[in-house]
Amino acid sequence: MQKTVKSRRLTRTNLLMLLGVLGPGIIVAMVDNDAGGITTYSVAGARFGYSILWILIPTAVLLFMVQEMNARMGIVTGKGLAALIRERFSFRLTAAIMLAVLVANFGNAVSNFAGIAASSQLFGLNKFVAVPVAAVGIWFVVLKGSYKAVEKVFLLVSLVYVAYIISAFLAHPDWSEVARGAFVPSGQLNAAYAVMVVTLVGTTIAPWMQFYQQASVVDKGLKSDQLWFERIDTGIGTVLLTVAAAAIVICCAAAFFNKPGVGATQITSAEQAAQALAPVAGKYASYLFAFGLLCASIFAASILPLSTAYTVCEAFGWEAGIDRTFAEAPRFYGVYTAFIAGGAAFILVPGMPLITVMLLSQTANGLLLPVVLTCMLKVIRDRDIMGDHVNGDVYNTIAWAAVAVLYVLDIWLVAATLLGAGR
Amino acid sequence: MDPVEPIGLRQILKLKVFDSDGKHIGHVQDLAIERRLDVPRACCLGVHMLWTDHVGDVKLVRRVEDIVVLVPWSQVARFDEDEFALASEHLALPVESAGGRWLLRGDVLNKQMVDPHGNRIQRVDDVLLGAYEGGLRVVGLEVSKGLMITSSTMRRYVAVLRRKHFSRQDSDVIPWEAVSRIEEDAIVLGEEVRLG
Repeated sequence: MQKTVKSRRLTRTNLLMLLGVLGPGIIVAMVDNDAGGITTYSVAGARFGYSILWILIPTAVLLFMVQEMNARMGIVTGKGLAALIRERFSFRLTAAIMLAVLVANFGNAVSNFAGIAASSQLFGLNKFVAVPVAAVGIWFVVLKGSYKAVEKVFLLVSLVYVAYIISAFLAHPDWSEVARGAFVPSGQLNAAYAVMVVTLVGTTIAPWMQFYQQASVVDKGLKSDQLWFERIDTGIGTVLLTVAAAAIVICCAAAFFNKPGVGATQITSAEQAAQALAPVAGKYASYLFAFGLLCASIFAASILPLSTAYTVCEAFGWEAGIDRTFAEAPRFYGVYTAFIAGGAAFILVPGMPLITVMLLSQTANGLLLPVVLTCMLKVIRDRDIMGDHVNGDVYNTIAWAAVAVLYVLDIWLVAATLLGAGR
Repeated sequence: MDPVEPIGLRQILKLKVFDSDGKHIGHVQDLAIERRLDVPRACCLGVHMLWTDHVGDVKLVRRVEDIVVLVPWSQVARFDEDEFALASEHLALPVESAGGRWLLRGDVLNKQMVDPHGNRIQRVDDVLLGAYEGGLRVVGLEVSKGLMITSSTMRRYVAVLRRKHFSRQDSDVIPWEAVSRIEEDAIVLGEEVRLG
């Protein structure tokens, strides 16, 4: 025990070790602010102002708890979540989960290519040029890069979210109102507000994140003595995600909420928000917002197919990993390539059922999350698998309570998606 | 059970287990084999007991529920596709240690198969069992046809293993003789897969 406490001191060695570990938690959190996430936060800010900000804090706590458990399971077992589900439960359950993962993640990938198309058009770029160039670039980086190189590129791209923080300042918000909205829980008793709260939570905690963080912790080869550093990585990622999400909400709330002449309810997408910012907060705020959307979409369009490839290969026991060549891991790169090519093609080919795919994706995500979380909580209490790293009684009770809240919100989100409530 | 056709472990798991008095005492949870891979005979039956207050000769302080014990195969009086019947009474069942044995459900089923260099092949979809001197022995590891068919490399690899060990099972079954060792995280096959 003494040794553990001593090892957590901020020494030069520990700092270097932390820098070596940083990556999976930050990347997964930043990618969560993808085109769909930015749209949700933009609409939330425009329609409900600062009053919706407080929900980001409990959501961040929930997210940290879930992702920390994934990191712990990955480090302790050396296996991804899909592999653990397969070994602990059954082939049938795993196959069903994989089907849902494919549907959910493909919809997410399509929405990110839609984000690339929309934001590139804001800069005057033709989507028929921007989307293929982005797709080939993303594909090439992962195919040719090692895990370490790819992770560095991803971490560097994470810096782009600073654009939203600057945009928020350029929109000149009332900071006292911001503080009140963030720290004093308030709400509205109407369906639209409730659906927005549920959508915010659902956007922030998505099943692909659990699979991705655990898989990348394993791929990175982190060991038990690095668990504490990976927790810090997860914590930093959660804080950065929340700050970026809050910046988007603040920017849109300051620019559009209750502003005469600005149709806040007409803002239904991130690119509309970026365009509408120009007359209200200035062209630089608008450009930064659009630039953030473009980079976030490219970023997520590369990670989501990667997450899917990891997950499917783990479940079925196929060779996988960025450090492998295409010839060594053909199905890993096959899934990756199919998602990127399919996602890009979906946006470029006229007449594709974009809305249907998005709805299917959101429903699949909604149905998947409770199943995945339940599996996780069962695995993490299994001493045969986790040894001394099982959840303690108190932590486990809190985790189940948190997951129960997510179940309720999740069912609500699926119902709202299918019924179109509050939209 | 038909002694000619191999059966899958999955078919056996969850079958009801009865004691010599005909009392339902639990269900099949696992099958154990000795760690010598050349003798893959089921030596113990893993029974998930509904409850007990005895573990072998030891009388417990109070009864416990949901306990899994290994019962020596000599205690299996009869089995068919619906149930297993044991030769002793519920509370007089002898038990064996799990140490030094492989558990087919716990250590083999769904596990990752790798070649000698650690290249991942596929996961074990089922463990095939054949009749052997009134008991059961492992004859092969099943890999899903639907999943394997997508890769010509895997099809070729399994075909090489089958030819090498003169397997007469279905084309999606890796003969048990091709298993070189079982590790905690993987089942290592003896032949190298040529990727790419």
